[in-house]
Amino acid sequence: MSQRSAGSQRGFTQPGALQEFCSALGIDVPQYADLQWVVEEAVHAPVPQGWSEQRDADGVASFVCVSSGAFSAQHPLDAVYRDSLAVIVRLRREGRSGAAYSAAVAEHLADRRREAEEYLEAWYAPEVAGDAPQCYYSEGLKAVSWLCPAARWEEELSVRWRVLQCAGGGAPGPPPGGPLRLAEPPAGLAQRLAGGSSCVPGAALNTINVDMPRTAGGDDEVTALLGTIRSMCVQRAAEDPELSYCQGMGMVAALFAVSSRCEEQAYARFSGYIWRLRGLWLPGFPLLVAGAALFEQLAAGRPWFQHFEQAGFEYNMYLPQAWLALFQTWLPRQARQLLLPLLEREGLAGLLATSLAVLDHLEPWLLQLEDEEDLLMGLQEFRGRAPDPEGLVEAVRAWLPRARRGALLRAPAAAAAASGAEPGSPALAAALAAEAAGLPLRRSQAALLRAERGQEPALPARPRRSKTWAAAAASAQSPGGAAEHLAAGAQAPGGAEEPLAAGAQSPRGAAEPLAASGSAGAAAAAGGLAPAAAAGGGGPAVLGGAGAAAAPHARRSQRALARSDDGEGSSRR
Amino acid sequence: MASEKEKDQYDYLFKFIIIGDAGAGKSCLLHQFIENRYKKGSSHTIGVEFGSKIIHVGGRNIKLQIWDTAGQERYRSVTRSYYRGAAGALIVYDITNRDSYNHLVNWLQDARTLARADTSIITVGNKCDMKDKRAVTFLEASRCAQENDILFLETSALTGEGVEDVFIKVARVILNKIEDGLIDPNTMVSGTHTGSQRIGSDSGGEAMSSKTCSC
Repeated sequence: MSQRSAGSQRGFTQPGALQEFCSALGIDVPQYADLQWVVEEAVHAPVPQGWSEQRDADGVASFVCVSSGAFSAQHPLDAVYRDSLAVIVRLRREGRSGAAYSAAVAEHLADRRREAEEYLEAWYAPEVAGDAPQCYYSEGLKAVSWLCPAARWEEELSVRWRVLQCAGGGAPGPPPGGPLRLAEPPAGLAQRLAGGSSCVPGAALNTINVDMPRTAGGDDEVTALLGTIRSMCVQRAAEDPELSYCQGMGMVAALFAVSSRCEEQAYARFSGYIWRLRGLWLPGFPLLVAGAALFEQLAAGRPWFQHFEQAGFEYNMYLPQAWLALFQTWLPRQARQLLLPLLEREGLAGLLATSLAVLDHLEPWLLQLEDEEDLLMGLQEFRGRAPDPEGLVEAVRAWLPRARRGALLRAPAAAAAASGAEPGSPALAAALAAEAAGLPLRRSQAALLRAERGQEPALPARPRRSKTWAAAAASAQSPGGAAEHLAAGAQAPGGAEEPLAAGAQSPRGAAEPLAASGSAGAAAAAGGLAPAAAAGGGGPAVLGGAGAAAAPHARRSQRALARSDDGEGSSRR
Repeated sequence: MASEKEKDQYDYLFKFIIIGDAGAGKSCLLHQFIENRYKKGSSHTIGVEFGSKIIHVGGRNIKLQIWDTAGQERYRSVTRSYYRGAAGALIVYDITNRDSYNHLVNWLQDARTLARADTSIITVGNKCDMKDKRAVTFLEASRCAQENDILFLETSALTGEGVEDVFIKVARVILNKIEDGLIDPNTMVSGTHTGSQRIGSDSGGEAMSSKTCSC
């Protein structure tokens, strides 16, 4: 929804702010006291469908349009109410009343409607297969939405019409012009979208929708950000059809959302992190299997690990929850947030070091748990028994050198290999560049590299134990090359040259992951979130940057959530 | 050793699995059964989770070891290995979500092929407190269960309605099979091992297939 701010930067969301608002417009307050109801209505207006409200640590509210990513520091309808008030005041000053007033209002509405129609010209409702939810697609904005973009314009027009009509003494009713329409989808759009460019498949969207309400784990701050978290997951799934959405990613998105300054930053960090470690969530969970083998090597000497082995307590019972959901079940949020920069920087080594440090801390208690069943039940107590965050960070740092070496053991000498090879073809050059940049390789690229280096394809050797996840990895029908490639490399104990998860297990430490994350972020901004600014009409604002009053928005928050749930339900047709 | 503990005072040990679409309420159902209260602010399951409880059925103390699985298709390759050796299977759907009901047949097929041949299966229509959003009628689900020769109950993991009944009903059926000599309790689970470890030790369960019971 566009922000046509007609007054001060300050929202009039505080009760009694009419005076301030009117002064900013140069309006004589007593003269327009009859318009108090408009302000009151604005203060109590629910967040429109498709918008989500969140509050930062200081309780300052901000709003994000879930479908377009548009960000606003003010309630999305504030501008509409403010603009309507300005129109009323202008018309009164011009001395228009009766038919003249009505004509001016009709003209104003017609202008706004034209604006809506222009915006909607870019939106299509492509045909979706079966009972998949209807999604909406904008070619120009390269944006996907599962809320009809016409709906919010209709809401805006209806607010304007009602306010202007009532202020002029007229009867409220539906705004003139009838329902807004979307553009006709061009021929072949459905096929193109099904080709995987940027439409999220219905099944993934359904899972995201079903998961969102149970992503916060009772954390109010995360709950307030669910709209943002959902849009992060949808955007990520649209950009990476092979990975799409996997359960656990929502909790990763949640941690980035609460730890970031603004939505753009949250998405860039989230997407970069997922990109580096995407083998954790790919079908078959190849990086989990590979990482678990490293974990077991590193843990081999620890008493708790020997205890685990004696009890038959296997990694597949505790590592997936930790790694695929950024330790949500292991650590309180404060500790996870403190660790997050380190985890972003270190990739797999960070996950290894954190897991080992936490289990070291829990050792005295773990050793008291007698058997597998006790250990399984004990998992639920991990978070309550977590070490203090600062101490944990120290312990993780202490583990890092070994964890990095472990990760290095299997990582490719990518840079050396790349510099030694003649770029025989553009395809080879691309493969080398991808490898050097730490990007997952396509199967054809991996084969090309192996052929170039005269290597045999890696044998998919068995991991040491715990076949469950490994078997899943082996049997998973992964559509793309990255999964097999990762899995094959991961399970080759001696495969030092095998380009295993080059991105995930960076040999170059801090510098490169930052670059990788940065480029992913840039790509995200270009491909996904840039439309937010276009759609919103405003620049990227900073969460919590505006001095909007928190209290009325806090009251709205519950309704906002309820509304967004309704929206979710109605989008599933 | 553990034998002194209350947790080991039981006559039989049954392994149960809970399967079904994501968001059907599997974890909440388990939590309500174990803790007798609704799990607020729960997270979705990654991989598998575990719970156990001793119940009293037919004059016996029966220990249930229950594996709760992730519902997303992607995790199915992983959760499947936990089916093996399960004496009871709960297939949970959400009465307000038609899709989750439509997928029942897939889950049923998984349970039949991957758990014991004589696994007692119940289909559970969860969220029956949300009557105004109901998308699957009691009658049609009941009929479907009858056609597939499995048990059926509706529950609310929120209010607790029917939750304990589900577990007791399945346990009773298994107990009856044992008492009728249709199942040899010695082939039942004796630990909480995952499927990967059971492959070798489950030959007893495989041999049972010739004695398939009507359920």
